[in-house]
Amino acid sequence: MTELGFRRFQAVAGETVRVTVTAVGTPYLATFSALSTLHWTIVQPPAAGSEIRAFTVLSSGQGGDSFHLLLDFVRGSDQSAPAGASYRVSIEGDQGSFAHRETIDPVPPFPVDAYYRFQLT
Amino acid sequence: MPRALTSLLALVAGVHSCLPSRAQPGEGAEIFSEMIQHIIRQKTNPALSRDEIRKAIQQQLARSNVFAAFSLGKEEFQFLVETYRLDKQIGAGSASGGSTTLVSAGSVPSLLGLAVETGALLRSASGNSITFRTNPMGLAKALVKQSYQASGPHTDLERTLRVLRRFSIAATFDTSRGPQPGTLRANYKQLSEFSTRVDLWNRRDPRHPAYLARWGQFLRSTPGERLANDSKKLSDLIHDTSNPDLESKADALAEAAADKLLAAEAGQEAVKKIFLEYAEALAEMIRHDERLRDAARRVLGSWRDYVREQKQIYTAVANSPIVTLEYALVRPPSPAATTGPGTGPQTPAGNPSLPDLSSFRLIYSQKFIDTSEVTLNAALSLFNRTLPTTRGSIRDFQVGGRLDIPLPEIQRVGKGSLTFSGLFVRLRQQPLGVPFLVSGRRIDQAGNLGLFQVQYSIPVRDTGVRIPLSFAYASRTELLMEREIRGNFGLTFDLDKLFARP
Repeated sequence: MTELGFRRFQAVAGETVRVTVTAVGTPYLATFSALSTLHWTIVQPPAAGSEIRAFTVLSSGQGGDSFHLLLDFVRGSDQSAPAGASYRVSIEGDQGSFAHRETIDPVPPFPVDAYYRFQLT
Repeated sequence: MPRALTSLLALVAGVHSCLPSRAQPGEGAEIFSEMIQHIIRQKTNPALSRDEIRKAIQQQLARSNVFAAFSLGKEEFQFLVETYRLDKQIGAGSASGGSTTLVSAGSVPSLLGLAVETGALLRSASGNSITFRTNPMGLAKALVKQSYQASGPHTDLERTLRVLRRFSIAATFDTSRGPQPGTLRANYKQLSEFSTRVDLWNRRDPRHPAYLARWGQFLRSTPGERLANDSKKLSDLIHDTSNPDLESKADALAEAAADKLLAAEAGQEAVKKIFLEYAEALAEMIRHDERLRDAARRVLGSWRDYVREQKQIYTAVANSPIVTLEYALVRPPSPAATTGPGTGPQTPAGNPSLPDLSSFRLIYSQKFIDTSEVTLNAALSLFNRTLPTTRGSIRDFQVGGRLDIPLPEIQRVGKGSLTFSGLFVRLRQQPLGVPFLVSGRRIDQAGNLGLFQVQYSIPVRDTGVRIPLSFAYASRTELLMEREIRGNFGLTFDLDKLFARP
């Protein structure tokens, strides 16, 4: 997997892309959308503040695919999200050494949405 | 011909009515207020590299749901502004009042509360009292400069020390005591009361482990998945994923805006101007494409359902009961400080040493109707030692109730609250040492006593200061032996509000 731009990646035929979402300092409230043409494999369902999903690029020439992540934060009794809370998102393929890693802070309005696109070659 | 012209105008008007009206520049910008503040914070964070700041900016510019909401107009996204308080300062909402009240509330600020009272009903004598109250864990975190807002019960520290969080301690100093009355010295001479509380049952924090299962259910609920899928469809359209190189017009807009925001000064106006220009450009794109507009509407509809579902959990949390046990050690004032007009001697002649008082209080709080809250108290007071003239160690017992009703917000002032409270006291014997006061007048004779108070608490906007106005009714007073109604004025100051500011 290689990076094309901000949250835009290129994956190759046969490659398995693994997405790990980890909640830090907040109960896990991340929601994945479906993929366009590919299908998610649930590697680890939401447990202990983390979830891992993967998809495999079946063959070349599939065009593109994408998914959306919703990241929510449980607000305290004062209605504000804990400033120390965040989500860590990691996306890595099993071919190539590139890995995308980012930390997403609690910035209202919630949920924070993040969109990831893949060019499948 | 005129008929044809009329039809054409009607058609044009009809088409225009289908389009969301174009917002005035800056209108509805509050939906971005936190996102803009976040960008400013990242730009001024010396620990971040230029690349990290750029990524933080890009994260905000890529939040297509928020920009889609903005494109549909303020009326459509008002529920987000209200839910996430995007047009208010954090901490402007209603909160617990000070101690000018007849019945103790069921929870205390987790940091430090300072209350200065005048004319208190049940506690110190006629002088001013200053109360310091803190949760040991909250204070420790503040002292080590860790964010107060991060002090939810799910951090590692919280897990280790969860039990300590249940406790709070408070000390009240009577500034009328000591050689310089009116000056706070916060020494032992001025200490009039020391109290500690333990929450036997308090699940009012949505991050409490008891709600993990409920949040898990929410995570698997339909609104979340639907919002995620609708968001993806919108983003697919915005970024035109049929384009094989994945480079869209929206990407170009975001890249240009990120460059400008990175180069701009970190001031509020400069960042806001660039951000809103980008928001307006993206909104125009959505407004003028029917498919995008429909997708944006679907996102807003799903978002509304999502927020509605989530609110049910927050409501359940807010409605959960609190049970608190409080112990207070109350020290009697020195004779010099307690004699005043009409008060007379408070202890038998020849006995200068007055007993301290221990009070145990059980407090139960529960949501009542709508957002109102009812609090019930039961208390027992004991002399720490008996004197030859006392009848055992039990001085009094009390039962009380209080109903807090949050009032609608007054523009430019804030949310006030109305409190009704009532108290029944059985004084088994003369209240030696620690006086028993009603509206500044002492009750010296044993017997029953009924009290009723109505209090209106006025907030001073964004300062954490509240001004309580109260009217009290007592079935009797010690001196007049007649019924009395009295008004009181006080000032409370909740430092949690100030610490909670961004």
